[in-house]
Amino acid sequence: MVEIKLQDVTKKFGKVIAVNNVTLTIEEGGFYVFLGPSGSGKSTLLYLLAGIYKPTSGKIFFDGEDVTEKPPAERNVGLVFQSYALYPHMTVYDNIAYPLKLRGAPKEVMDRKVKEVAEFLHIDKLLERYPHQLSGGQQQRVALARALVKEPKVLLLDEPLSNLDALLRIYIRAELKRIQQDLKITTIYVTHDQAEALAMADKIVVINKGVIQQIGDPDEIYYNPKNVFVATFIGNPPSNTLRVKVVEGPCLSLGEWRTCFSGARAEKLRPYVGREVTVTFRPEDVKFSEVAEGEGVTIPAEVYEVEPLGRESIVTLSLGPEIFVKAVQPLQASKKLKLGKKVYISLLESSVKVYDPETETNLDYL
Amino acid sequence: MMVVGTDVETVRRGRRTAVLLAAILAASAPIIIVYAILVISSFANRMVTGGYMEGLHFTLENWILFFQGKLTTSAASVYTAWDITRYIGNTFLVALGVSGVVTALSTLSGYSFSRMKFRGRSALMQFLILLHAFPGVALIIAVYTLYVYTKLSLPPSLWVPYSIFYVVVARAALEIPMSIWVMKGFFDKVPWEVEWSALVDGASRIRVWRDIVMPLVKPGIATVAIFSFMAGWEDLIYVLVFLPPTQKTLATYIASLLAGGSLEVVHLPIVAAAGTLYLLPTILFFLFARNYMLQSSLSGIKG
Repeated sequence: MVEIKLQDVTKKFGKVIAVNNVTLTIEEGGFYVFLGPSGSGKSTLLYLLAGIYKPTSGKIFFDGEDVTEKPPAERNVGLVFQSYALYPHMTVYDNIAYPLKLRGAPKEVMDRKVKEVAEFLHIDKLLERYPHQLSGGQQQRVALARALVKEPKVLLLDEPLSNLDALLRIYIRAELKRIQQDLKITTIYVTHDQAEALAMADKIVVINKGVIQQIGDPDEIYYNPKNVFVATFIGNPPSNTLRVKVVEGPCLSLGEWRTCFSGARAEKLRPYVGREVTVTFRPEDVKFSEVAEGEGVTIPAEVYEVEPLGRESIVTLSLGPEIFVKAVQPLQASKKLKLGKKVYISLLESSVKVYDPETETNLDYL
Repeated sequence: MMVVGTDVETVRRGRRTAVLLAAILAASAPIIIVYAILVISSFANRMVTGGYMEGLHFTLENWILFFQGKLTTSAASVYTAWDITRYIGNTFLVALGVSGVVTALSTLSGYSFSRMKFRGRSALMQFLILLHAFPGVALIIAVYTLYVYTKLSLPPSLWVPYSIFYVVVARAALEIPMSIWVMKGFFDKVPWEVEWSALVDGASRIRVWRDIVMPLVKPGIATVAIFSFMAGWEDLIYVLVFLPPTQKTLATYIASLLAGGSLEVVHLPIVAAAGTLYLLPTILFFLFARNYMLQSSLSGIKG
């Protein structure tokens, strides 16, 4: 168990800046998820922690000890790749035993530890097999066993579930979380799948273009996104984004619709009066009604598309030319929605997040 | 006629395929027939050259005479059994030497060309192709000059071992450029993640190369080793130029039997036996190695 600190870490590949000036503390025993789209630099950040890449500048500390210049072998981290990267010419036993063999562990110790971790991960019957004789899920466990057998200070997981089919993914997801809680090992998990991040993380670190966008627990990330990127990257379907005018009050205004702010939020919005701002709101916060609820409270819309997903439906609404909003409705309610039907939607003030039009930062964070 | 649908991959069998096969067979017939004549004649009392069978019988005598160093059935021998043993030994020495040098150098440099960034890497890669395109014979004068100068600086007692060493190195040098390319191709197929895994597991770079990467490129190593073995085994010109006349390999031995006026003196089926022995690695190689070289056992890396 170890606390990890990154201090102004930058990594460049030629002219491309993969990781840009990242400062981050990862608490002892925490389950951290690095979440971002592909090419965001999240895997690079993981490889920097593993020692596969060396930072162009900045420092990395494990429990206060500077490990920036240490090769991977001396960091004692466990790493699981998306492709598992098992050694194809070795049996499962030899795969798991390899890190111990490199340390020169005696045969009995090696035997005992391999058996222990294999039983723990329910692969003790597969020890004589070769990787190509295993299913994807089994290979994934072997890779995890190989990472855990050396009792690493840190467990690094690089999209470990992406190569599994959807059902297995959800099953192993829960299991991984349980294993992490049992072992209390500091874990960093890289994924582009926001559902995985929300389900597993103690803390989510949202990364885009090599820069940390927000660090927070899943609730915070989901309900209080720091900027437009976080709001639109997380959630399925993602947050709706609109450009609206700020008018005296201060109120947000789109066509006939008005939502007025009061208290602290009003003070933050006031400087934007007369300008356009970006707002986001979650599809599940969109309320439907068949009749208008009074001037300025509801927005007239037209049903554009209905996608039933079983428990609920995603309804796409047209607010005007080229302005679309997605809403989530229970399946039964959505059945009444015929294409082209006129409806009225309303939004609670608290569910609307407002962002500075230039910096795209949530005004609540200013 | 019933039309049977086939997968895109399946070539439909039909008259056209049959004609094509027949044509290929006919075109390669001369080669196959010549080799067959060579092998059969080495077990016959005279050269088998056609359907004429009268007086023909099969015997192992040619092989016995060949190993005794005799060139005809009756006359006194020019070579001794020891000479023949030495020649076969020399052939193995050159072939194994070339194979060893080529395999060692191309696995190491192939790895660095595939996995390490260094200044001038791509220029060097192109240069290797250029080197390969040069015929070995074109270089022989320069290589010979170098040989003479280096040889003269050594005591005469070392000249014979040095000549064998020189043939091995010079012949290996011709094989190395292509072998590096072949090995680079095999190393390229090993995913980076597998190497990274081993590094994170605590291995040094050289240990990763030895424990993880080399076993995964075994088919490549076999390819390079076998091809360079054959190149050394079959080489005529370098052996002829650098080895003293007392040191022959099978290739130069056979060449000397057919050279000058000796063609009229020697019993040809004995030469056929020598030729068959000379062919043996090729035959063995095609019997055992082709499946191995075609497979690349990189399975199990991806799920």
